[in-house]
Amino acid sequence: MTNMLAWIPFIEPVPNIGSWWPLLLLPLSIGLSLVYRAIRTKDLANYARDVTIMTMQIILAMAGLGIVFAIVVQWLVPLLPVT
Amino acid sequence: MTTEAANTGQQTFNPLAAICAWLIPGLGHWISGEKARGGLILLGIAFLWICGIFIGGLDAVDRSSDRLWFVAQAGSGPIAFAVNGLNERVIKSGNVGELIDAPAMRGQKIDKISTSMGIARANEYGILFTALAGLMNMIAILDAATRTKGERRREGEGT
Repeated sequence: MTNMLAWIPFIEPVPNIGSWWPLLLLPLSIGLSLVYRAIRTKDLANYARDVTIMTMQIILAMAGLGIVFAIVVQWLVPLLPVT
Repeated sequence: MTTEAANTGQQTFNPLAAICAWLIPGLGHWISGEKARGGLILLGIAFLWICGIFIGGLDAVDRSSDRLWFVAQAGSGPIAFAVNGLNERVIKSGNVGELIDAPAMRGQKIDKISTSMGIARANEYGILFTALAGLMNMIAILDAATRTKGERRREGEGT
C-alpha cells in the first residue's frame, strides 16, 4: 500500500504487480485486436464484432496453451524415468 | 501510383503513405482517403502505448539497454524516440527517484541505476506492449503503402 501512495503513474512502473500479471493479457489482446482488425476488416461496420471475436480467440488460445503446458510440466514430465 | 495501376487494382508501393503512417500511426490510411480506418489504427496504437507506459513507466523504452526491443518500438514512429528521451531526462538522470550503485561483479565498473527504473514483470509487460504497438504499426505502414485504389473504394463503401 505504501508503494502505491508513492507511485507516479506513467513515469514509474506499476508497483506490486506480482500475482496479477496474467490479467494483463486482456488489455494486450484488446490492443492487438483493435489495430489488426482496423487494418484487415473489410467493412468497418463489423469492426466492434471482429475486435471482440479476435480478443476472445487470443485469450482462449493462450489459456489453452497454458493448460497444455501445465499438463506437460505438472503431470507428464514427473512421469519420466529418473536415471 | 499510376492511374492505370489504380484502375486495374494492381498493387504498387506508395512511399508517401508509408512515411506518413510511420510519423503518425493511421495517417497513411487517412491521406489515402480512409479516414475512419486511419482513426481506428491510431486509437489501437495509442491504446497499446498508454497501457505500456502505464504498466512499465518511462523505462519501458530504453534505447541503450533494450536495443533490439527499441527497434520494434521505433516502428510506432517518433513517439518511441520521445519516450526514450524522457526516460534519459527523467529516470536515468535521477530527476525522479534516487540513483544508487548497481550490483556488479568484482573488478567491474559500478554503474548508477535509478530506484524508479522498471524491473521484472512490470518492465517486461511495458516493453511488450510498446514493442507490439511498433510491430502492429509496421503492418499498418505496409498496408497503407501497398493498398490499391480498388481496395480503398470497395472498403470505403462500407464505412
